[in-house]
Amino acid sequence: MKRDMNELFQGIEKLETGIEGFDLISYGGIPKNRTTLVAGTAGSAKTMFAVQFLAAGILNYNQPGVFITFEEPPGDIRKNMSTLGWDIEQWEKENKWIFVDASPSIGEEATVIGKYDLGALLARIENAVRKTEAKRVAVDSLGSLFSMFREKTIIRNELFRIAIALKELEVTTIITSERKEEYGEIARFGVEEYVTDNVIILRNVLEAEKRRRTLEILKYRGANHQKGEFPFSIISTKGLVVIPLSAIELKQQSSDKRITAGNKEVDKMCGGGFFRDSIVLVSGATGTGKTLMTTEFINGGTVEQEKCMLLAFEESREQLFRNAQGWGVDFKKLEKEGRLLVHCEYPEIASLEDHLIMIKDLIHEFKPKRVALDSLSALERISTVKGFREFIISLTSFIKHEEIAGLFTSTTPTLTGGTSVTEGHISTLTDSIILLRYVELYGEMRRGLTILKMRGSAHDKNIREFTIDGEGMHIGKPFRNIGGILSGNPQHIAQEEADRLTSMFNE
Amino acid sequence: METVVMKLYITGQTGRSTQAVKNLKSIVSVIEPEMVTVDILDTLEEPEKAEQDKVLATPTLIAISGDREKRIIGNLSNHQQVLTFLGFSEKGAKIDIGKTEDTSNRDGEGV
Repeated sequence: MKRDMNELFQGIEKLETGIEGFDLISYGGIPKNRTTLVAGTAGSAKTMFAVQFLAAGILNYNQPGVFITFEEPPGDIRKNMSTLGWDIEQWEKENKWIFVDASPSIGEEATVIGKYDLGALLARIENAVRKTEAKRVAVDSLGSLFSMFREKTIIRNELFRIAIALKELEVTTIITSERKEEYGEIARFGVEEYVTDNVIILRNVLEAEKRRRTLEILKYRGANHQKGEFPFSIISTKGLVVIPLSAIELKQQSSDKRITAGNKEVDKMCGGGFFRDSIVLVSGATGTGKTLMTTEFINGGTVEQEKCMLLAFEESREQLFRNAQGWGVDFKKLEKEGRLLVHCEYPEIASLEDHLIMIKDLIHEFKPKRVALDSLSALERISTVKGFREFIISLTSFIKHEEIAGLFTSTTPTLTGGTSVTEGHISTLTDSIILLRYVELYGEMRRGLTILKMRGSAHDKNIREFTIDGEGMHIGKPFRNIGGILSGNPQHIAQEEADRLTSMFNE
Repeated sequence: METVVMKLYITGQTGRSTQAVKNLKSIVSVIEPEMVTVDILDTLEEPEKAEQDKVLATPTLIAISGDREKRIIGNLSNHQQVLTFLGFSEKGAKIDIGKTEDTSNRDGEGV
């Protein structure tokens, strides 16, 4: 695996864009000293991508840039992008950014008499690149250039000439281009494939009444990249953030180190605790003890001097703190000591993509060793099926990559038995699954716990009864002579029948 | 009467550039000298000026009269069309520049 990854990184030299997430899915950025087409429908954030490509270059790598605009006047771009904290005017003063203003002038009387070419544009671009010693060039957009001139053949030839000149100037270029349909042809002006080496597509698709933005690297001539569409979001302080669905598996080694679940009996059932870098899913109906398991998981971490983070999307801070207090865990104190960070949010305040980016930022900042999320089901409400699945994939791979232990909860819709939709999506993505179920026995509601899956470890396969009191969770004996607990229809099985079944498997 | 300031942008000494310069000289020759000034600018030497004037294509002729500006893109191959578009009669007499419309595709004196 390791060798393969190295091979992937070799070959064509790439320029890190500095656009969050993009460098990951593109295996290191866009091909250096080449031209890349960024195509998308109206409102797909093409201009933002182009501006951010330059801004990130200046901010992160001190690489000056030249922005050639055929569409919006520089004044508009300066103003629009200042909301993202990009001070283009300042960069212009520092000679790090130059506009080549080719935006249309209003009310200009012009005509064509005789032959012409775009020599002046090329001269202006070359001048700007030399003056700033630019490493990056953005051209926005092809469609606007074509609408300025009637003689398409001339423009095609000239674009070809400009592309060659840019290559000779050793700059990495992005050219944006309009598309009419999200899933239609890419080449609209008949030059795209000649002028550019690589194609990136930005989409803004309406799906189940929700807008979903995605980015796809369609073609990277001679270079490797991750395939398919990746969701992205526009964050008010960062611009475009691409959400990789899986982190590169360089650091992701499987750890056999065990950590405590915060409950000795649960540890024992798991064969000695959870794994250091594993994701545990706790599924159960409302009131079965998911929040308790979360609290114990956090408490177990802080006892071991590990920083913990609790992401809560169902209950308010006060509620959570009160619950924890009830079990003798002082969240307030832990937070004050900097050992815990509780982040409460209503799922509806942002899109799932935005939540994910926020979670990642929090993790980067706080650097916890444990993260608990309560609950996934609450987040599922605000997303499409596809979007939710991508969220889970992205979050789990990110958490694993950071070598953090994760515990997610999911709420089942029925009180006894049944599986939640959430489980269906993520059961294969988590390392361990713990089920909490109500068990109705002789007219009494009792609670049962079982470890359904524990990747890479032996574990207790019984369905055990557990009780909850002021100290927390207490695990008791397995339910004997009872069948159908998980399906929600517990039935008494006669002792002889149970013995017979057991002996069948013993032979 | 206001004079017309003409700026001809060319890029390098190409065949097209020379044609444009030659054409312009011949066009201007019919206009009374005090009515027009001509400046020839090479974008390779003066890219900043091209930037200020937002010139994309070359050759481009910019004709300024008062606060009005007209642009002709191309090597000015059709002299009559150029004169008409700029508001001159065939013989170089100035017609009110404000009243002309886009007559680039029309032949004749444009009156």
